[in-house]
Amino acid sequence: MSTVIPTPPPIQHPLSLVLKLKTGKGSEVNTDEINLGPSLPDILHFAWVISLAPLGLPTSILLSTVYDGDFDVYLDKFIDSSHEAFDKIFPLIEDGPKTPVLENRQSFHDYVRKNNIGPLPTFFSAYPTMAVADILNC
Amino acid sequence: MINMPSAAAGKKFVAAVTPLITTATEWKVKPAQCYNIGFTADGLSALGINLSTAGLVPEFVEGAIARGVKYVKPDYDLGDTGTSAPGNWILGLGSGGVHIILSLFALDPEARDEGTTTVTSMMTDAGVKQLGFQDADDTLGDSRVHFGYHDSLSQPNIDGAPPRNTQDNQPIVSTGEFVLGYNAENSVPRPGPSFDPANGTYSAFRILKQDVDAFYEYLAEAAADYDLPQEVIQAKLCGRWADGTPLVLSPDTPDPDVSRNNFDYSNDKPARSCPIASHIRRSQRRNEDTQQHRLLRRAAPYGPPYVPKDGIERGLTGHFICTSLQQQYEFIISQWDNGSGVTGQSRDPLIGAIDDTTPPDFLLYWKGEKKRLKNFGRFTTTRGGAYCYLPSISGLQTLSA
Repeated sequence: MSTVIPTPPPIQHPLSLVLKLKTGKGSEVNTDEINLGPSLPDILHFAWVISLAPLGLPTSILLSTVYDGDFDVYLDKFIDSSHEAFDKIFPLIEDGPKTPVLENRQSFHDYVRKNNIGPLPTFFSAYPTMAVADILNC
Repeated sequence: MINMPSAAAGKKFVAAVTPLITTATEWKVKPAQCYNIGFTADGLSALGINLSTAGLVPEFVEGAIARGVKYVKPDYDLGDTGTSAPGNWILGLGSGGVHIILSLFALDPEARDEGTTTVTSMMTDAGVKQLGFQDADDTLGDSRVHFGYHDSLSQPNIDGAPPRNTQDNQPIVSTGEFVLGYNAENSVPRPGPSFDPANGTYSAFRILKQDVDAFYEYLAEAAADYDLPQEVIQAKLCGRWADGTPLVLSPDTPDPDVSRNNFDYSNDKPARSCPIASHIRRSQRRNEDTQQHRLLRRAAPYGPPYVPKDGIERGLTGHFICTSLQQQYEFIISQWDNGSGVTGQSRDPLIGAIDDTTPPDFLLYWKGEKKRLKNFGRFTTTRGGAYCYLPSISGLQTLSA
């Protein structure tokens, strides 16, 4: 057998969104009610939220994730896993996607595509060709 | 594979053949012949359907040829590249001239010949042209395929349909995942096209050539290189022993007494028994994903029982039936079999589009030892494909009017 071992292309991708919350009475996000779902997509490595209040943006949060593979597939899997949470969050966001998100997938895709502020060239992963399952399988 | 030179000829043929088409009516005695009919987008257009306003899904309208050319890499790979590219497809499937794919399922050769004669006569009378045909048969017996595996063990349980013979513990799948006009998973409506609002569906028709020589040569070489029994490698690549025994239920040896289908991967999360990259684990994820990516398969092998180096082509042909070609058929092929949605370190070893640019690793565990198989090539190539719309009976009557 030959021993040619190609280097697989990177499959991990970053996605970052700044979500600006509507201001005024009744617009506050009740964090106790927000649960992204019992099982997040198994192509999701990491997800975290940062308040941008220290930057003088008290109503804005930064959502960052790292996922495997195709952008649109990832969004669809995220919708499938977390549509109930999104339906609570999106009405509170300025110019947010339409809800219910299960019936308005394209609106969600368009919103994320428009507002994705990554990836920046400096995205680094120590194992960019490893999917979530590969890491769990090691 | 049929071409309709004119709308008038096409309508005449569809009207003639419609009474033969098998319906959903339950039978007590299996008929000698069953017939299914599917139309490509070119076929519906030839019958006068306006493809841009009929409410057909966009991937069907675009068609298997365009999709195959368009989606090769990197994150949405349908695998129809190189020798599998549409330009190399047989029976007119790569030309856009195929309008109808008529499938005849017969109990025996006599019934097949009788059915063929009937349909051929209808084609001649109507003035439509046959571009070619592809025979397939359970020549190996026991639903075996040329790579040696017992096949067709896992099919979805569909809400409203009779239960499967081989039961499993998987959730019942919403009717709309397989029949248009009903709700799909998550109660999302999945309507049919305007000319056929309910009871039609779509299929991806495929002719897949299996390189049986290369497959068995690889098994022998890998057995020597990695110091593993050949039948173990064969089982790990599939996720089942050749007799169909699931590895998660019997990891060390085939067992005729264990269920063929009543299992999931809850107790094998680290994939020590069934490799994460194996064919069945990445094609039907069971508890590891939702029921939104299921397929109903109607396929059979073609070519005679395997004889090494005889130069005869062998493979599989049939329909992958679903109501969303993009969310079901294409998703499984592009994200799980050829993609990184399951593992970034390999492609599906049995049907994946593997070449020098794709990761060749296949990680398996045997007797507590980790082995990383490399250097297997592409064992399955596409010889033809078409996206079909399978109308309801009333839809056929509309199309022929």
